Amino acid sequence: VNRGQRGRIPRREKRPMTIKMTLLVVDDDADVLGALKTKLERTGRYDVLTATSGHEALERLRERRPDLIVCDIDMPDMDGGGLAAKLREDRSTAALPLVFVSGLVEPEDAQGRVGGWPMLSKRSPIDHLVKKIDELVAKTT
Amino acid sequence: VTLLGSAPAGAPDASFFSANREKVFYALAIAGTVFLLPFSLNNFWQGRLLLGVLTMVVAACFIVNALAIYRGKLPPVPVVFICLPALVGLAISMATQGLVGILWSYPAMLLFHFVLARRFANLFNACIVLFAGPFVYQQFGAVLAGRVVVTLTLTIVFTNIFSRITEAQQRSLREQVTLTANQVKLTSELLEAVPMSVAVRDTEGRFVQVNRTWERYFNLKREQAYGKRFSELPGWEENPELAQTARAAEEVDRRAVERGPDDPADPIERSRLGRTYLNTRRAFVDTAGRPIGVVSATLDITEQKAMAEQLATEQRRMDLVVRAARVGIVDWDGRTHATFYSPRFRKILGHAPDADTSGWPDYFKVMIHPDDRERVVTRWRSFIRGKGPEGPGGEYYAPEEYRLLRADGSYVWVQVSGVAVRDDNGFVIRWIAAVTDITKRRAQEQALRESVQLREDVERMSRHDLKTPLNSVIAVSRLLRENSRLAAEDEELLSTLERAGYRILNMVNLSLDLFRMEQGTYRFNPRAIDLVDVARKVAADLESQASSKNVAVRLRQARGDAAPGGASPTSLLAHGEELLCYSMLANLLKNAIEASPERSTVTITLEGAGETVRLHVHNLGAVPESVRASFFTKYATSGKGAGLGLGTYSARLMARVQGGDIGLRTSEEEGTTITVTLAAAAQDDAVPTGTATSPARAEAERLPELPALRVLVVDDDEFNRLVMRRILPSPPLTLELAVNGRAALDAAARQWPDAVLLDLEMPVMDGYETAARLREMERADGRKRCTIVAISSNDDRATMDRAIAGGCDHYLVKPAPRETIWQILAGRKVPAEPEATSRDETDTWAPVLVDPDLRESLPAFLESRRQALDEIPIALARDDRAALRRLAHKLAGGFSLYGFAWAAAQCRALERDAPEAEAAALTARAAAVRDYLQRVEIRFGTGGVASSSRHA
Repeated sequence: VNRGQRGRIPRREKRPMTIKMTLLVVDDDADVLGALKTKLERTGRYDVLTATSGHEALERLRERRPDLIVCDIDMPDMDGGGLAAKLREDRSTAALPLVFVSGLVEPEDAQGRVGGWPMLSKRSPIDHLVKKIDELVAKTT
Repeated sequence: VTLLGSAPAGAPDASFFSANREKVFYALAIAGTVFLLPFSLNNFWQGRLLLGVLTMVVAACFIVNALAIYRGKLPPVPVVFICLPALVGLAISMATQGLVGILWSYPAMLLFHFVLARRFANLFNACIVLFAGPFVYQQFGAVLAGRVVVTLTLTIVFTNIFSRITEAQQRSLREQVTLTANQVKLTSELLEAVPMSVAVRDTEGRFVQVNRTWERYFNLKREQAYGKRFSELPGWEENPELAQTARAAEEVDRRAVERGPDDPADPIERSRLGRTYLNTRRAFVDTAGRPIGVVSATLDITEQKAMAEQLATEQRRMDLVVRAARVGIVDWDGRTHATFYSPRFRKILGHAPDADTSGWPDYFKVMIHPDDRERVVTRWRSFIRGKGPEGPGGEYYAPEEYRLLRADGSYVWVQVSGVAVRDDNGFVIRWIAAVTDITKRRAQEQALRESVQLREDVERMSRHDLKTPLNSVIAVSRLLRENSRLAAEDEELLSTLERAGYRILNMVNLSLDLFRMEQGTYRFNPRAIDLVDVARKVAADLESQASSKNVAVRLRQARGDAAPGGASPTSLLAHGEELLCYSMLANLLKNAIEASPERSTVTITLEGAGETVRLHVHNLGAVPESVRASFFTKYATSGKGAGLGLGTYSARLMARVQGGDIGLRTSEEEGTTITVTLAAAAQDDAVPTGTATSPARAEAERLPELPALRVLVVDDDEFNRLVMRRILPSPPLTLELAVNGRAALDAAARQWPDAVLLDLEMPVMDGYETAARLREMERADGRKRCTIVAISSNDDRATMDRAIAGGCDHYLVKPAPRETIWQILAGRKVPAEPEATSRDETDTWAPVLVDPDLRESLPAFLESRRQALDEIPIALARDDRAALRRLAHKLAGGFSLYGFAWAAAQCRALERDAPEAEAAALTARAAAVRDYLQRVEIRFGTGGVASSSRHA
């Protein structure tokens, strides 16, 4: 775990020839969304699509198929659970990897799964969340 | 050359001869023999040798051809060759005999007309006229010549007219024959082709014609039937059933004849040899109206009939199923928008089952509850257009729950699922939905949720209730031991009591932990654990149990390890939790001792193997075959009167929670070995300095000096208050006791305390609210900041968070050790000047570390947070608690990610308390957060895990 911090590799180093993963981040808070987009894109590993509600996320999905959906749980209109249920109903999207992010759980408790999807906590600093997403992407792809 | 018979039949130029070749040659042969022969012989007699030969040749040719035709062969002599000698003979006889030659030209003309194609015959005959005319004129003058020419020409004209008439007659005859033949052929083909059996019988009932299907139905060849009656069909007389059928059939035939063709009987269904047929009879009559027979057409309808019956059965069953399932059916036609509602559906909506639905309002626009309408209609629209998640061809409409308008104006909860039929464009043209009344189910679900909630509440409360008196038991016995001068025996008894109390407490705590492990919510808190140490302790604690069975417990290091083989091991560090390791090993060892034969040895072998460490517990008893497979499952025991079979189950649970596993090897010869595998301690694992409880004990050796503080103890339990009074020495401290939050606030208002020891679960006003109110008072009245220490029997994270967020500085789990409380009180430097109140050592005001990547967006972020915070009082003014909750939730989410841990915790507390807490408290908290944002120091950097302000 600590190795990454010890080896002082410049973090924004351009990696040649890496294929960028596409993430779809869904959160109703524009600030959170912006922060995540910035942070994830700065890693150089992701293209980030954003949506501020479940409905918008479904729209985005029609345009492009992401490698992972990062979805807030508590949103007005269509919440994360609703979105996940929609995705699962449809055969074409049922297999899309999805991870919930929630402010309702502690990072330590966020190892559990909600309805079969992994869950990450929003209660940690952003670089921790990004690291968790990295791990998930590595695991799911 | 093509003159003879080569012209196709019916061709306009064909001669009469070619059409009637046979008759012509027979007639010519006879005529040649009878009439020509005497004249030929006369020619020889008269000395006209050449003429005699020529006429003989002509006659001979006729006879030869007639004979050939008679034998069925082609006539050997071409017609032209017959004509040539005739023409030559005619010329000679004209030349030598004058008028006699002219007379012979009439039959010659007729002959040519009959034997040559008409065009050639006319040519020849015209030649004869041209040749005879001048000849007669020369010999007998113009009068005779004219008459000869006229008569000859008339002969040509008549023969032409005659042959044309006969040809026309022949042609029409031929056409009629062809037509009839074709019709007959067509009829019989038709008869063969129809998939029904057709038979034609004469008035006597004899078969005249049958078709192929008839042959198949009757399994007979048509030759076997022609000319026979039903009863005479092969095999019919012998079979009584068929004989009966035959009689009936003949009777029906008779009746059909009697009825006549204009009044046929209706089709009759009849069965023969297990199959069912549909039969029609119809008499047919000749042109005079006399009956000449019966046409009988039969169709085998066995399959159709079976299918129809099956369909009817299915329909009946379907009706029953629909009725039995108590499912309402809605059948919607996408083209006409007509909707059928089943009786059951009408009943669900509170109408009579036979209510008239024609005037019902639109299903989607009116019948669905307004709150559900948009959701349902949106989904439905995309579904019928094939744009929903079901895809363009999606048939199945997954169950959806919403409310429908009932007859009495109320709403009923229903679950609707359906199947759609789509047209080529994917548009839904028919949709059949099953509608279930789920009002009851929803009520049950609600009740279930409530009961689960209740059970959890009861469980948590009983745990709390159990722990509170237990804490008193432990604390009182300890106080007695420490503060009184007791006899050695009494001292021993009290320490036994205290240990027993701790054991119960550990059991309660462990059962809670096991529950969490099962739920997967256990928070693993690993450090380096010395397994040797743990094993020694377990062995020591189970010593009496082992000795009562005469079983020795031996501890050894695996051979090949760093330590000398078999020697007493020194240490083996594993990555785990001490309490878990202890409980796990205690369970395993207890089982091993129980299962071990008397006077044998139980061996604990410790083995370090690189990344992992192993621990083997071996005894000589074998696990019975029957329980081996379920050895580690819950409630599996073998031959034990007592015990729930939780030992091995919980051992495995604990091994797995610690990232390891557990295995079993057992046999009659070798006994049983249970192997626990755990990860070896990592380098950065915290190494305990001694036993788990030792830090506290070490601290106990040197209790700090307590400053003179005013301490407010708030607890509803009198024993706890008693214990606190004993723990906290009255000088130098000044103690005030309160039984609940309200009393505490009153006490604080009278005299502001330096420290508050606050129980969280209390009647009237609980600890959370008390802490918040205290902080509020502090701010409002400009009091100096007091230390609030929450003390609770709950050790779960949520409770801790809530307490910290509510304004507590420290969180202690009961029983709170005296040493820790002393530490907190002593460590707390009460400042003399109120100036430095806020920025004390609590990490509330620690600089916030923001990720450098977010530097640009930070100002906008802070601005939007401030706006949201400003909206909180507005929402409260409207008493819109839901809006408040949303705002708080949004704030909390953003704060955490940006690194504002304290603000996030405050906002989470806001979110949680939003529904009930008093507006003033909430406003104060929001204001505190806003104030915090203004003043907190912000740094940019990464790496540091911003620790939340929590003390446990």
